[in-house]
Amino acid sequence: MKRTTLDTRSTQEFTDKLLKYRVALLAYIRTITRDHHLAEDAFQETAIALAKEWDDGVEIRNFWGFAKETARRRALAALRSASNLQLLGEEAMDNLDAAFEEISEQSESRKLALRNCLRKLPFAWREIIEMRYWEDRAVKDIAAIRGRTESAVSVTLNRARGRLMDCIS
Amino acid sequence: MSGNHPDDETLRLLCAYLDGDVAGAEGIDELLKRDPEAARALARMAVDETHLREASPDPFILWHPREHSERLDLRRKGVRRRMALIATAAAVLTLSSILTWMALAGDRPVFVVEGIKGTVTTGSGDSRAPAREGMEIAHRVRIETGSSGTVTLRMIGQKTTLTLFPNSSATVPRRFGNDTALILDRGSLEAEVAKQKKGERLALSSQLARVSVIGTRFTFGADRELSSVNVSEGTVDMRSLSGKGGKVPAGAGMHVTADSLTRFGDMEWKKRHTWAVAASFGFDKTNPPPGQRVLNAEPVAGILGQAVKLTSGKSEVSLNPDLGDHIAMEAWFYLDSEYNRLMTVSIPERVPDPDNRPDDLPFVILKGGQTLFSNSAGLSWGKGLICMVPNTGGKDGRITVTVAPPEEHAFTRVASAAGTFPFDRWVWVSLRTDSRSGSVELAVDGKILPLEGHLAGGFPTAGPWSIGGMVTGDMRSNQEWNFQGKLDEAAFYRIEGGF
Repeated sequence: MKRTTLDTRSTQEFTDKLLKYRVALLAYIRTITRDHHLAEDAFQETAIALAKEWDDGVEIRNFWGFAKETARRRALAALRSASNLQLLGEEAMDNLDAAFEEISEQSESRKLALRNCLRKLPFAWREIIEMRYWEDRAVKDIAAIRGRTESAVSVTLNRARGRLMDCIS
Repeated sequence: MSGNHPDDETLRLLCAYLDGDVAGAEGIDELLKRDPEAARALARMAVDETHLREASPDPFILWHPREHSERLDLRRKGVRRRMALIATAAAVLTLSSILTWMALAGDRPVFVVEGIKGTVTTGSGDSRAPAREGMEIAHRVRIETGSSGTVTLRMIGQKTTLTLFPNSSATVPRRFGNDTALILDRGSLEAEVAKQKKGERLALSSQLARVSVIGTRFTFGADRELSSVNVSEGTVDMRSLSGKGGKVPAGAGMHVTADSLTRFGDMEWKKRHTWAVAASFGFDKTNPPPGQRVLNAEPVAGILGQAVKLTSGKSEVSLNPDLGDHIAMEAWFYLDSEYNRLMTVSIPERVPDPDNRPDDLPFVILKGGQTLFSNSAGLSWGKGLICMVPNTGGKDGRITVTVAPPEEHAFTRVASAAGTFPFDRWVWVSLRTDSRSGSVELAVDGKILPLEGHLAGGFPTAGPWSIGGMVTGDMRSNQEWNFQGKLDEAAFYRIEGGF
């Protein structure tokens, strides 16, 4: 690969690019690992690997594409090290790659829309979203706290996610 | 999938996959292989969930305590510059997440504790500590009151106060995506809301409903099955989870369950007349207001927060409101059909009426009855008003209103039809009358009832008034006429002008 001197590329440029695609990368990794904590670990590995490449002067014409490939390798490695099954074959992964290619530039606008869409959720749905994502509670814990069945909580959670997705889109 | 919206089965599969449910996600590979729309939906959900998680209070931490040779080999040449680059990336990422967290979550203080009685605790998660006056309550803190505890919270920056009654629990929610000031988990509270800034409203929530106000005074109660509001001043807006509901004016209230929404108290006369609350009982506070008595009444769960259960012969709920000639009274009652049945004679008897009692009333007088409201200050249908549900052998009853002038031993009566007062559930009763003319309006659950008979004017409306029994002496100790059941949210009104 063509190498350029580090002087021509600033640290700021790297962090700007990484910040721009950070959420999309993390979400991409999440769809492979299916586990939020594994995804965070893999993202850290990805960020370090990208920083090394950048520092080594590797020419990166398509930052998102390059970062995604790096992320994919790190995510699969994290899956293997956690002895988790890889459920998606090559064709499914290709479709997922294409989907993330489209969405990688939309992350910030989705964040802004999310806030408004959360307000529109029924209060009980919003509470379950909060318990699931902000307090990191498992569905069975939410069910125990709210005095409902796990199945009922799952259905509500899924509906809330579907409603949010529709609203944001 | 159709368009951008996944169908229910696709949504279930995608959610199961993201949740790590391997069994539930069977078929995900096939789905994503054949349906690019499903892949797009999965990508959108994953991005949205990442945003959701990052609104949590813990900033995104880049550094992981696991050791890696790339990170820790500080002796390699050039590693310092690489470490500086990585450290910068870490700092920027961490700062970005911290700023996101601060903007979206924020645990700044919201309330300050102004008054405590009895047992009151605060805390978050599983930790609890006694509350103390002057302490600040921040987001994500839960406040709980014991069986005799009350606490008053003042919103920082304004004069709004919320008083949490005994056996209540409330949580100050997170800020992100949430403009609710307090979530009432159970129990009841009284709110005095200062006038809000233009365009702003104070919002309170429960599991089933949301109440938003601009500036007013009201009581809000909640348990897992019912949320209720009762407005004393101003207007609130109360909505169920499905968005049904609306404005609730002063003197009215609303109940919300998972399946229904009921308004009460929103009587037409409250819109046509100028009126004032002369006295009210919520039974939530441990001590009744001055001039009001509650004796030998057992606290029980009510229609809104706490209620009282009256036991025959020993209980007393009395008050001495300043009423004029045009008056109204209302309360929630819960009458027991079994008691009513036991107190009824087996053979109904028609009581001959030697006095001026109308003889065309199409019912028989049975033994005893359950008094709802009375200021009758004597024996045998004494001077004043008695509103009661006569014993009917346990079948849903009727309501009678009997009045007698002070000068004569004579009475007149009106009665609703049989079956208009249901037993074994909470019932809202409203009575309005003009003592000069004898005009009367009687409503059950907000519906005005057709009445038979007539009331003669000239009866006194002065107190003391009793809820659930006759006012004085022999009649009070005679359990045949005393109310046996539960009572909540009573109010007496003084109304200006004629009927």
